Amino acid sequence: MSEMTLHPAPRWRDVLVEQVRIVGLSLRPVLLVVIVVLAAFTFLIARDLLSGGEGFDSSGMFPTPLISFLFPFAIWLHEKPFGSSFLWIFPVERRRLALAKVFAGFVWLALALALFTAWLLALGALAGVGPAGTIMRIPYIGTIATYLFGSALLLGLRHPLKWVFGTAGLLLLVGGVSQALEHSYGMNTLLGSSRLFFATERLHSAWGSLPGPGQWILGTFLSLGAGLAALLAAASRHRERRRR
Amino acid sequence: MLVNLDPQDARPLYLQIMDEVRRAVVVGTLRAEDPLPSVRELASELVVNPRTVSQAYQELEREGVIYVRRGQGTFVSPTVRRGAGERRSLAMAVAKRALLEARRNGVAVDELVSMIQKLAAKEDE
Amino acid sequence: MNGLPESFAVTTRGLSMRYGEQTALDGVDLRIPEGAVYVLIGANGAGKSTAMKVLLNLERPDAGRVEVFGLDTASHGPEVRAQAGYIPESHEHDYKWMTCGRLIRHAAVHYPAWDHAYAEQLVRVFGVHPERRIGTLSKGETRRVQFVLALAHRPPLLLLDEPTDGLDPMARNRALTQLAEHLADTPTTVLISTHHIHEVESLADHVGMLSAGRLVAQLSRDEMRRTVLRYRVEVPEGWQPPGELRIASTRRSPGGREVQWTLVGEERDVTARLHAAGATVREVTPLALEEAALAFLGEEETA
Repeated sequence: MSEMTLHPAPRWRDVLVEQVRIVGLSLRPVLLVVIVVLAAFTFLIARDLLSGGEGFDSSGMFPTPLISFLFPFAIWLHEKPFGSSFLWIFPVERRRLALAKVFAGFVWLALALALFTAWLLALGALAGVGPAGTIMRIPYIGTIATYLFGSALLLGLRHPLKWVFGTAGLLLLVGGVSQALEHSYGMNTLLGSSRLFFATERLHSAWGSLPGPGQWILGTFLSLGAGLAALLAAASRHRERRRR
Repeated sequence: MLVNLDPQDARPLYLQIMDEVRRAVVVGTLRAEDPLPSVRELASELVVNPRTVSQAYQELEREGVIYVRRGQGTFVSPTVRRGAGERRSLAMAVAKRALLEARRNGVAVDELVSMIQKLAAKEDE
Repeated sequence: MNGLPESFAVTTRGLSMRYGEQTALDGVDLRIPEGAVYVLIGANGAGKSTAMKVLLNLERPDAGRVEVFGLDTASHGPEVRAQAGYIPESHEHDYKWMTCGRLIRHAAVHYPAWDHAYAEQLVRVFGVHPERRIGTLSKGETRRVQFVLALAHRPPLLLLDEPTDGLDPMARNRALTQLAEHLADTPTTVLISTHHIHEVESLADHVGMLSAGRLVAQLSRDEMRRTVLRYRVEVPEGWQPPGELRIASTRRSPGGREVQWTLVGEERDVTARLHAAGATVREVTPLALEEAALAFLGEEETA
């Protein structure tokens, strides 16, 4: 016969805002490194420009997808998705809290991309390169997609590093073996895996030479869609409700 | 008022607290209108469940030993008397414990009584 | 006190959980009345920590139902956790890079019932330094932060897993007195597991004993004081005890003529049975909580 009023769970909006704050706070050391690196680059490029040089290489895309793939690792460095973590004691559903953290990371990623773009545009103005040229070289969608994949990896697999290094290691190993075979015996690679290993190069250049907006939109949907799907599937591993 | 609880006492804790309060009243440590420690203070001092202290205080209030002044706390009842009745019950409690000890050690009742009188006489010397 | 059925803050039915070969919980039926201070006693690995984690839906049991304040934990995990303050067994803490103050503010966001003034008071009482980083704290210092986090939102349910572990004796005393004060101010149900049983001697009013995952006994402290007693008994040579006595532990003197039993039952009943069986009861003593627990858990009593 208790007349106890139950304590309420927190408002979703408050949880989200706090996650953005916390993720930002935890990334301060990363921000410091980035500032130092950019400052160094600015110095080098400006010096090059002033002495009549070209500044930076005008072809090729910036490798932001690789960085944004590693971004989730920095965010989740201290808060383990699997096992007992302080994070999960909060009165927030586990899957939603994980997604909130990924979202918070995305907010900072978007901010970082915007700042990077601005920085590049400023440098571009100095070098006499138009804004269109600069913006075309930043793979925004690819960056976001790899962030989603990276997050999905961390949330979905207990030992993501094992998988990442394992796969890369395996590819390297097989590539190395077949290259050695090719070299010693003149045989074409048994599995064609060295080609697999270097396929990313082709993807990169293929991406850069996409014909029209239709293809671009399709590519956007596919990569973002796949990324979101992977993320949601990974997050579902942390669902709390037990199906009866 | 100092309260000591004996973990090896078979009585429930709230009874022990009640008896300690009554003892203090009979002995004179607590006089009419003296304040008692709040439930919170006593629970904290003894590291006892506050509900136990509450229970003890409620029983004492029912018996008229203490009363609550709204907003000011708990006090010893003005009508409580260190009369013969209270002293008698205290004496009975002491005697009960002595008898228990005697039985455990195989000491007969008359032996116990004469020994007590002998020792008391010695102390007076 | 008045014979009405109590409402239970926590009930589990047939709670079972295994970690591979190890059985952590085996058909556990916990009944924790509202407002009780329930101490869970058992050896390491007996399942105490697992039970608490299951109550919060931090672990999913293999079988059984758990209800906290009428809510099914499995389907209402977040709501249940909103009612609970938890101190985990481990001293390892996440958010090592955060300062204590920031962590406390972080927790405050997640509990709308947070009492900010009380949190500040707790920080003072427990001697927490808000500017220190979590990663630089010692075991005891981490523990103290965990106390603040658990108590500050005045939750209706406190789950304390070895709360005084890692604290020096002064800090332990401070923590327990603060807990008693907290209980006086806030109606709370407490589930506490501890190896320092004597510390909660006067605080606990209910006891549960876990052995290898099974709940071997669950009773109120008052009932325990009344029915778990040590009998010193004189027996003739070669005497065997009557079968129906519930024996918790035994000591026999070298000559075999004096036996010390810890027996469970009403004193009058037990004494009558012993006399009927030809034994003479010399002494009956009540037991401190720790001794009674040891007797139940099958350990030989140490002198």
